[in-house]
Amino acid sequence: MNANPGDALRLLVVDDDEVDRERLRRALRTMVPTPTVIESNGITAAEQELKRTTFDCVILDYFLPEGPSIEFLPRLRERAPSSAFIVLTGQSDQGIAIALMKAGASDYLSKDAFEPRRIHQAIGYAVALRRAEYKMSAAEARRTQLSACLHRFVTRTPEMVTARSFDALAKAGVAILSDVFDAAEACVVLRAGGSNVEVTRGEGTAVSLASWALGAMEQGDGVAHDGQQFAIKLRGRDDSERGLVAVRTAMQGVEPLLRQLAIMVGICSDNLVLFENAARAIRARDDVMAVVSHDLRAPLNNVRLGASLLRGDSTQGNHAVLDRVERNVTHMARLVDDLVDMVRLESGNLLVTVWPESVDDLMQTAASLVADQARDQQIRLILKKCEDDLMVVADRDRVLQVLSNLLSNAIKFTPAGGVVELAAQLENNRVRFGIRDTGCGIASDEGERVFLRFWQSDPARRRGLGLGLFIAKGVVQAHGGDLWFESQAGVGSQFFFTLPTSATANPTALQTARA
Amino acid sequence: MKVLVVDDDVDTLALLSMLLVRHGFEADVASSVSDGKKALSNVTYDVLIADLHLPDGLGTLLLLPMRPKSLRAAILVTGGGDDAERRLSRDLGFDHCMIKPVEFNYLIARIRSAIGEGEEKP
Repeated sequence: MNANPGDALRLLVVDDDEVDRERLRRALRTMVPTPTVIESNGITAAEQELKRTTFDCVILDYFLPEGPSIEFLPRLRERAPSSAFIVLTGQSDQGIAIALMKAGASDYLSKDAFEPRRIHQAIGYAVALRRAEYKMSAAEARRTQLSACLHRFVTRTPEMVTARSFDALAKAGVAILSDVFDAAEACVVLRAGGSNVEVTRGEGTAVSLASWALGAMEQGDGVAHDGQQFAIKLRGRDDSERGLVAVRTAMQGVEPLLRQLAIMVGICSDNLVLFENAARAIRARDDVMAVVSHDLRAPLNNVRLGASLLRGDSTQGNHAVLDRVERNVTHMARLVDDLVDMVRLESGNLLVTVWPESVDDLMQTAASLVADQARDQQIRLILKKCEDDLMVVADRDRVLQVLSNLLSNAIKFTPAGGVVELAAQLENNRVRFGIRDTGCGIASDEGERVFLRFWQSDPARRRGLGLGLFIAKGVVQAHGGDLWFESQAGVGSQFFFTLPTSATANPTALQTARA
Repeated sequence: MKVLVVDDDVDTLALLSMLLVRHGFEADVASSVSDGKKALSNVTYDVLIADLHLPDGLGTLLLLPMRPKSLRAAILVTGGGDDAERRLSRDLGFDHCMIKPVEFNYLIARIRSAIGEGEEKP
């Protein structure tokens, strides 16, 4: 089936009757353009011819020495899938005609009406039909192949998206190229920092594919095509060059999918750059935090020790100064603690060491921590008695941190003469703590924003970092509890948080939880 | 009552030992794990106050392989405030772990409770 329409046809005549062959020869001689005709006198000889070369049309007598040609039609068609078959019949029997068509003949001709024009026409139609059928089945095969190709492409792309290094991305890219395009050779070159990561796969010559592709990318618009070789330049979101993908494949029409793959590899390599930058920034931040937490505390320690020493032999006037020094040391230490806790929460490294703790004891200790502040601001601190044996499974220091933060906030935002109340009760197998104040309340439009980092009720009057509620919520969540509030402007606020009781906590879980 | 203070910060050593002396303790100082170990093996101390981060290793090494029998209180001071460090210190023979900046009155109270004394002067 190499011929184009209009070219001379190649015909095979299979007939053992020399008279019939002569009649056919004569009829075909007048065909335009003159066809090439090969003759054979039986099925065996015909099969030899079909093995040797391709024919546009095979014309068979119905009766051949080996038997009726209808019996051999399926076998012959298999041998020559692109050829049309016409059978010459001696008698005009409708039944035989139908059987012939079913067996795969394109047409049949009665020897009784051997008219050249009729023969030319039949051959012409049969060949045209066969060609169309053949084209269609080829197209169908290609469609199936491309659809399988697309399926492999879609199912394998996650390997690239999840790659965490340029090397892994290049390897995944090459594996996918080879698989998707059924490629003899494939290569991925990624620009990583100042150098290239190059991964190739193939039958020993993939390196030459890579060097061809690198050369081809030097000029042109980022797409190169040479015989079975394709190469496409990779680009990041900002259009920067990120390397190339190249493939050698016998498959047709691979370019659209290859372009798609190149876009994906480009974006994946872009993401890797972003990921590495982010990881580097996080490492830098953690390094700074290590310095902050260790190295800022040492001089603070000395200031506090020095103040203690001076207090022993100082005058009344100096006591007030030392009080201020102490207060500022405490404040500075709090800021350092909050920064460290914030980083721990964000990196998921806030550890809580849980143990059964008495709720009553936690509440009394927390109240004692803020007693001075309440007295100074003339706030009445009410501690509601809870059930004696109420226990929570909690990190004592961390829960005291949450309680004193919430109490201290409540006192800070309640005018003199107001009330701050601390209570706890068992609710749905959890202990719910509640801190109620008669303060100014929180504007309803603040909502969950109060739990964001660096939130301040009044940014103009900021004193701390605005991390208190963010950390409190994180600490409670690290225990498996929740923290929330209800507030009415001008009436007051109520903060709640829950902790597991020793009954609800997993008995084997008296260990460490991670935020 | 003899106290050994191990810290690599000269200011901390000076201030802490002055405060301890003022509160009736006898204070020696060391500035590394090896100096501290030497002191602990040569002299009988009642109390050890050690920084966690020392130039030649962690302060927790001071009580390895065994805590001296005479030692009635051992307190670790850390700049990190790491929960893991707190736990580790207790496993390694320290009675208490404190985070800088240390409040001296609280430190004294901790020492007294560890050696089983009340608030009265030693």
